[in-house]
Amino acid sequence: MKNSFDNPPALQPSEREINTATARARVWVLLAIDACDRAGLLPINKTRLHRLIFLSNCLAELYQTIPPAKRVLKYKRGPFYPDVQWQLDRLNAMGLVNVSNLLVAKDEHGPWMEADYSISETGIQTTNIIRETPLGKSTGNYVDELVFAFGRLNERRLDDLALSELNYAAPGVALGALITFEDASSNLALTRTRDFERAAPEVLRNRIREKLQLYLRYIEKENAA
Amino acid sequence: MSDDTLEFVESELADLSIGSSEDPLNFIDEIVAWLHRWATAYDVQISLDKPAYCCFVGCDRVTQVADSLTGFSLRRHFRDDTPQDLLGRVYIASPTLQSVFSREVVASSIEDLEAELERLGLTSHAVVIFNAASKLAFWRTDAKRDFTTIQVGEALDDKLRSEDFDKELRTFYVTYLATPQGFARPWKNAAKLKPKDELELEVRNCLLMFLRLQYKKSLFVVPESHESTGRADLKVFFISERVVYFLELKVFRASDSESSTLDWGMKGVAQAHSYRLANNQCRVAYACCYDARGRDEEMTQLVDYANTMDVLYRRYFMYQSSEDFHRSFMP
Repeated sequence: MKNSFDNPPALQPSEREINTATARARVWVLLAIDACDRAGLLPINKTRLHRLIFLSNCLAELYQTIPPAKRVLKYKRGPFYPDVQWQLDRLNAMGLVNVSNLLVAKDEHGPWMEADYSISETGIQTTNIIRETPLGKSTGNYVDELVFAFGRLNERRLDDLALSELNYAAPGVALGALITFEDASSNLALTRTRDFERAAPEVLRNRIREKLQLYLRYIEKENAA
Repeated sequence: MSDDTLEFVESELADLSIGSSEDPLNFIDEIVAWLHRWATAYDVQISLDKPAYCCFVGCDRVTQVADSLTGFSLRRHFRDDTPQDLLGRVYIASPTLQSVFSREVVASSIEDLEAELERLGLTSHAVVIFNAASKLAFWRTDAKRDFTTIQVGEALDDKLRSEDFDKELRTFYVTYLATPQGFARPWKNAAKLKPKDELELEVRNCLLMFLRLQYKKSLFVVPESHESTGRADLKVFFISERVVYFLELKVFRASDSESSTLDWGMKGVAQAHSYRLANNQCRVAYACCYDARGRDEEMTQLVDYANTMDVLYRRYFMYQSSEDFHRSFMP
């Protein structure tokens, strides 16, 4: 199946702007920004948002949610999804997401655009409607738990947390390498959560929220080490 | 699985959030732990001319709330900070404490702060009021509930062993429920033998917060734990011993007949037994019954039934006054 986050969609003149995969991806991004608002994490800068989306893709299988992106390139600036950027721009154009502090500059990696994102009043109303749908409910539950667990970590670690994520920081995964979550058995994040359950089956069996929190805390510690 | 993973899990378990992302108890828990850290760091006497109170309000979309009110300014890095100028302020905070705003307030009592919250239109939210002079925090999850109390800033025990748990349940009862002035404020009208509505839920929340604060490192306490045989009021995991206890909490009311009360108590025993049955690792199941009937009499049939089921049945009598409680120790 084509993952909508893999490449920015290049529209053909006869092609519809949105299909199921792009709708799913757009809902995912909007719900993540909405959850950040409720968790007190807005405005969120572009880099942190892309990295948060990456974390949400790593652990989606835990909640049996279909992540909108199962592949990402290990990029010099950390996890980055061209299609998330596309969706963010579309959401901004639709009036659902606000952009501030837009900055285009050149750094040691080359030209780069940085911006802060927040949700608009219309965006909040839209997510309230989306959360009433089956897709919105299942995605929203997972994204909320992830974002709130993320928000309970040390503020100083939030930006770089994803760089210590086990799949991303795995030895042998060089810059430019493709990281995939298509095979759950090779997803190191899921493997580690199974280890957590083995460590305390008395209280962690079937407790996905706790395993999600433990994983984020685990990579926070890795990041601090 | 490595020893490192085991050590990591054991070190983190007790600190995981209480409930799902929208559960207001998470906010209360965050603030109580934060206040404990603050009260431990600043162990000072508060002079009478200085503010002793402050107040925290949990808000979804806190930035919008702050924008809609006047005088609130952002407190950066509040979550990981321990600011000296804490008191004499109202704080509005996101559930994660990542965004916190505050403004000054003149308040010399809980009532003053409640009036301020009324003026600000914030009464429907989760609220924690802190009195730095007594190091007491007063919390409620929503406007429907009264404030309950928790002591912060005291030296906490690092570890609780399962064999001492019974003693801890007794301490909780004495502090929270034995008298009308107990931290849980358990009565609507003690003279008329009317306990609070939903007292079981209040007891569960109070016991949960009490154990989480007191044994921040050694216990993992799960409310409403989903087991294959139903939902346990509390599941308590003694981390280093790897022992699980289940607790079922009941209130005996004067308005119920004797047979209904007996049935209610037996149901609690049976529930506790069923949770243990579904968990191989669980050795101990408690049925804790808080007795608001006005007569301190044991129900022998219930005691016999609990013994038969090997469930630890405990009846804690709720006295209608401190005087009655004192007299209960006299010959």
